[in-house]
Amino acid sequence: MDVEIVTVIMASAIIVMLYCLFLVFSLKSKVPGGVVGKRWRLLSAMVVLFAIGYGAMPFLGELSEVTLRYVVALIFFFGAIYVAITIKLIYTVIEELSA
Amino acid sequence: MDSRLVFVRTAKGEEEFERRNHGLSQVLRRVLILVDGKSPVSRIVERGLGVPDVEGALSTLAAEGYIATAEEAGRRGLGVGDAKAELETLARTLLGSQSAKVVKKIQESGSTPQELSATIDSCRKLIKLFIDDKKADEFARRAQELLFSSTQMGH
Repeated sequence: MDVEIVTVIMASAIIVMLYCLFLVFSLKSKVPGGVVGKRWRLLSAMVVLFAIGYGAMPFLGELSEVTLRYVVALIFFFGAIYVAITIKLIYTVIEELSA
Repeated sequence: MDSRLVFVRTAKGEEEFERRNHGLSQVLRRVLILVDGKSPVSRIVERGLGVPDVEGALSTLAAEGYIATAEEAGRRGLGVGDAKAELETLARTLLGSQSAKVVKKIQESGSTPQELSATIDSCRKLIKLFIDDKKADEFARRAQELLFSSTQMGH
C-alpha cells in the first residue's frame, strides 16, 4: 500500500515537472531579454535539471543509503536556490513597477 | 534658401526614412537622413559632404512633401512635430525587431508632454524588464531629450 502511494506521488511529481518544462520553454520566446529574460533562462536551466532528477527518481532505490542522502541534500539545495531566484525575480519586478 | 531654416521630416518623410516606400534617389535619401528637426540648413550643408547640391535637394524634398520647415510643421499641426512619431523611430532604431510592444505603447499614448513623459517611463520599465536592461536607460535618456527639444521648438 505504502509503495503504491509513493509511486503515485512520484508519478505526479514527474508529470508536474514536465508541465513546468513545457511552461518555461513556451514562455521563453516571449521574454527575449532584460532582467526577467536573464532570470528566466536561469530558471529554465534549473527546471531542466529538476526534470532530469525527477525522471531518475524510479531508479533512486538502487542507490546506497549514503548516496541517497547526498541526492536528497542536493535536491534541497537546488530547490532553495530555485525559490531564491523566483523570489528575487518577483521582488525586482514589483520594485521596478512600483517605482 | 535661408541658412538658418530648420527642417523636420513629415509623416511621408518618416515613412520613407524607415521603409523606403517612395523610391527616393540616393542623393535625396542621404539629405533626408540629415534632416533631424534640429540642425539648420547651414549645418546640413556642412554634413552633406559629397552631395552636389544640398540646398537643391532640400528644396526638392520640401516640394515633394518629405520635409517641412519647423514653422510649416507647426501650422499643419505636425508639431516638431510629431514627438510620438520621433519616439517610435527611436524605439525602432534602438530595439530593432524587439520594438513592437514599445512602439504600441507609444502609439496608444496621449500627445501632451506629460503623457509622453509618463509613456517614456513606462517604456523604460518594459525594456528593462523584458527586452534589454542596458538599453532601457539609453532609451529613456534619448526619448526625454527628444521630448524636451520637441517641446522647446514647439514654443
